[in-house]
Amino acid sequence: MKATQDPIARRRIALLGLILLGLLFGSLALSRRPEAALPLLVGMGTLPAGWALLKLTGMLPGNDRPKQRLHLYDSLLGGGLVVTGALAAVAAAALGVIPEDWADRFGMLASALVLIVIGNGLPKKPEPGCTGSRTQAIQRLLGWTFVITGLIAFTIWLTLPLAVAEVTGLAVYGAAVLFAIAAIVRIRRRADSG
Amino acid sequence: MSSVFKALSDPTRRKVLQLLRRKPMTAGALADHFDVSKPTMSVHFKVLREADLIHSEKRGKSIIYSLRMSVLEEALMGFAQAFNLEVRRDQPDPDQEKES
Repeated sequence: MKATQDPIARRRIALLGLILLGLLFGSLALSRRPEAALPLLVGMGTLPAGWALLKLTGMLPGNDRPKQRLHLYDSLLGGGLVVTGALAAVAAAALGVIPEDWADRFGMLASALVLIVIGNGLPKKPEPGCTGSRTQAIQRLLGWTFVITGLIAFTIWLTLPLAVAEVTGLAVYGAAVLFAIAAIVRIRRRADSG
Repeated sequence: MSSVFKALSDPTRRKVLQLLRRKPMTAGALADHFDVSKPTMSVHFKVLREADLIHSEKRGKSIIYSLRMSVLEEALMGFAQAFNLEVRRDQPDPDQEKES
């Protein structure tokens, strides 16, 4: 099978490309905004480090588990996209291509997107041996809470002035956590009584 | 994704998903809610399983179905329900053809 047809090989190439792009953006940003670029470059370093750790500990899914292997590469690619995107925003801000505050906004927009993606897939995640209505209800509740919170946070960081977005975004995340806790307690009580 | 749209375009399958939203159910308990034959229900379950919208687990003699819908898929089902989307009956439904 050609490397371009093998989905895992394609993902490996894409991941390598993302890491190289991240390093390029990171080196562009490092001289002008080291305080923003350094943590992101360290974050980028965790991707190959995480992969190597899994490989060393024997936890990397083998060729006999292609679905899990694909899932792992997709997760690494997702993380790579967020970090490379953030480094690109910092580099662009450092070079004066975009306003300074957009570099900060990008990080928050990316985290809102991650929340949406994780929330969307959460109810689909099979919990081995758990087919109970309580598990299902909690997974659905968390999924919807993550997605709606992510969408609200994304809109806030896209539209409001930076100072207002910081306060409002924090309030939205706080409210979402409180709501999720209260709803989970309610589901558990209902399941225990019925 | 087309398998998801196909699965959600049928009112019976949407009703199955709505029932499973409350709690996981056995194939028999689900079938009790519909006035259709067992083979027809089996075809509906198969379509939903192939679209990865439900998960089946064998326990003893019965099969327990549980929901496996992402938030986006649930939202799509909501839209399909709101606009009452249905497979066009002027074209033969492949499922019905298989059954007959």
